[in-house]
Amino acid sequence: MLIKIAWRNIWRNKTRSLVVIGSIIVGVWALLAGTGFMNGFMVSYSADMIEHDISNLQVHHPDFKTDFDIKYYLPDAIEKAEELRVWPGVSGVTTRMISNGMVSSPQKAGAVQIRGIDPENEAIVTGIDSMLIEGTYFEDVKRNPVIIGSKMAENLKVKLRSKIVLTFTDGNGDVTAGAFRIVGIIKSSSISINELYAFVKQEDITRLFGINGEAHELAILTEKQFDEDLILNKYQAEYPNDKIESWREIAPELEFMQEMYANMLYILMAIIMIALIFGIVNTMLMAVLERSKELGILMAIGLNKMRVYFMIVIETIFLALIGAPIGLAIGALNISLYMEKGVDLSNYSEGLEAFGYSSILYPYLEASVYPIVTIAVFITAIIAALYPAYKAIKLKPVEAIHSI
Amino acid sequence: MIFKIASRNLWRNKRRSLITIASITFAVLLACVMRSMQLGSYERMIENSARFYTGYIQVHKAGYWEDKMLDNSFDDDGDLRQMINETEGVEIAVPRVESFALSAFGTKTKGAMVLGVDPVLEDSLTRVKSKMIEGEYLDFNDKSILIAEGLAKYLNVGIGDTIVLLGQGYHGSSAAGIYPIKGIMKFPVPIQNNQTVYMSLKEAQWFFGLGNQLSSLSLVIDKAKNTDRIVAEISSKVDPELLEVMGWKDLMPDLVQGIEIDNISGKFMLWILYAVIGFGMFGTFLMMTAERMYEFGVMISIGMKRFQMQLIIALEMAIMSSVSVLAGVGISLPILIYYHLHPVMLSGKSADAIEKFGVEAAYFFSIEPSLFYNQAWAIFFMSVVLGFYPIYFIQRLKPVKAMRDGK
Repeated sequence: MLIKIAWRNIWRNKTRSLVVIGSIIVGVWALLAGTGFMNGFMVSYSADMIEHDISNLQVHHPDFKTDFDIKYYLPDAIEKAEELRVWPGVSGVTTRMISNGMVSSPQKAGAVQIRGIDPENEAIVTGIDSMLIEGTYFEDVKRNPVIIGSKMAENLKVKLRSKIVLTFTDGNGDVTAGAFRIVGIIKSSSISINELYAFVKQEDITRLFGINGEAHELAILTEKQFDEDLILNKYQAEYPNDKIESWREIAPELEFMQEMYANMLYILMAIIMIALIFGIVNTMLMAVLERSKELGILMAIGLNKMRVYFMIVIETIFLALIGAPIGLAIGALNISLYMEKGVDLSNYSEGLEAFGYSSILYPYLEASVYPIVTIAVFITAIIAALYPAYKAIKLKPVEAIHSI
Repeated sequence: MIFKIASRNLWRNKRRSLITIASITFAVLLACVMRSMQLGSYERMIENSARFYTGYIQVHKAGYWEDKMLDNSFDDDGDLRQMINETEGVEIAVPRVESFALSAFGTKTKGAMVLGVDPVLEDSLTRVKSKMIEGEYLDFNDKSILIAEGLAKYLNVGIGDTIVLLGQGYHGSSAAGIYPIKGIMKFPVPIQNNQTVYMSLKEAQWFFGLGNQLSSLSLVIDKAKNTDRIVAEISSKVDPELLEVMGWKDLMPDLVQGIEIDNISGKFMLWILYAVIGFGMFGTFLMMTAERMYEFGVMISIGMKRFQMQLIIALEMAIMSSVSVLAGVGISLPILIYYHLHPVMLSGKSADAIEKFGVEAAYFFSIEPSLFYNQAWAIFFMSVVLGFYPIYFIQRLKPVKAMRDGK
């Protein structure tokens, strides 16, 4: 009976109900859009890092990462890479020789990470060939070609076809140097790629390193949305002597940024929720006080206070039940539309890309967010109804009937 | 007369006026808190980087910033430092020599950033002494060095070990030396932790064959917002052909840009908040109008012009909006000042993840005055726009129907 009365009450004053439904719609939409947008920022940054620099998974000799000593190569790396390529969920695997050292041009010197790559597979895994702004991808130069980042080229004051010298410690512990000719210059949103890496052909660097190994690193790119832990566990079980790590361990700063964003997001969401509660409280309060005469009559003819209280709360629940799904639908539509198309931010910040972000933002929401947001708004609406309902039962029936 | 009616209307139904005022006040409060938090985190980032690393202003030889090589060093004569120290607002000028060298121990080699510093002055800028985890800090004429933890680990060295530094000195001379390690420092930023070597300024000048030259002078100033004025003042006194003076915005373009990017997402969230707030305010206005339908009907049927009625309502809205905007700023100000002085500390797992990077896991609040104006104006403007609804409503009102429905 109470439910019936509450339902009828809602439709008796359509304006008022629509305002509350509207606030709930806007609230759900706001939470979805806000989360999606902030996630988009985070995800697109991580995705860039994963797809163009660190990959989803990396395998090393367990001691290699501690000091990048080139003695610690990965046994049978090329064979393992071949095997991994046919595993489900793997979209590319490449092998690398890695050494930290110094790069010098006639003018300047700086730190460098020498990466001896397998050009064909590297292109599949990190797509460095697509970042070329000048020159070619290991064509044209026959002896010792090298590709460096645009920032490094600028720092060293070198151009295409200039010669640079890479200095490093070889397998015997001697300091060795090799001259390389710049065949291409790449530019990316990653600072490491722009400033720190020098890509050379694996066979060129293996000769200089003087070790028997084939590679120090296996980089594995998984298919999108594929759970990398499956591959991680399978590999670890098969080769317990190698160390396999996911991007979370390789680049803890990504997780750090995600935490920073997540924290900020919680607070912003809380502020939006408070704003929503306040909007609903105000409207419901006015609605209750406006209906004082009607509520007075109901109480006078014997509806007890508990029931009046629940009637108001049930009304709000109905409003939330109508508003939340609509808000959810609009929010989901909004997000999925922009998830495809992306939001072009290039008008807002000129140099977005220079900082490691791409200027087109793709909002992103995990499916689990939708029910959470809906429930959160639902609870918000009910909390917001409590005070007006309390106000309603505080009315004195006689006075309430007498007032206009 | 109209003013009188308007103010009486407001007093007549205090409850309604208060609810309306509260909804706007709350909107201002929430918008101020949100913006204050966003701006607060940016101020903190700037302060952290400028205060503890680059300094707010740096002086170098003209061309050094474009091309950071030792050949672009300048003479550290007493007059220049005195002139800078005497400039109003400058607290200290910290001299540095900075260049790259190869560090080696046993069979291990790694590129290192060698920083020659005045131990006392450097500590007053970057608090480098507090980064020591082992050994002793440098003194003025020290011939030993401090080394960052990551680099020490890589080279596998400890206190008392002697490492070789090898690099390129001034005008292409070769720089080489062996140095005992006196202390180990731990930096939160990985790149710094993996390649920094500190030595005394005198020793660095000798090592690189610089004579009495410096790479940079970093200035600590009293307030970040005085940067432009001090830059202009010092620039006017030095020969621009010889020296360049740069403020933090030019020194840290990455940071400035990072803030700009974050600000986009910040503004987006602010707009979402406006949408929610705006809807709440609109709901309140709508209810207020519906509730007064009967009253409007009566007023118009007894001969009040619609225009006059609208004026009264507009005036009511203006009074309520101004009162609430002022109240909103009035309430948020003390709250935000409190939190500005006592940042909210985070705890738990995410705080650990953040602190690993040497960033304090806390929410910081800004009390930049423009924040309050901007939010107050934004909300005031919003209430004015939404206030068109009752005015439009009166325009369309049919007195007889209104009196019947509103009763």
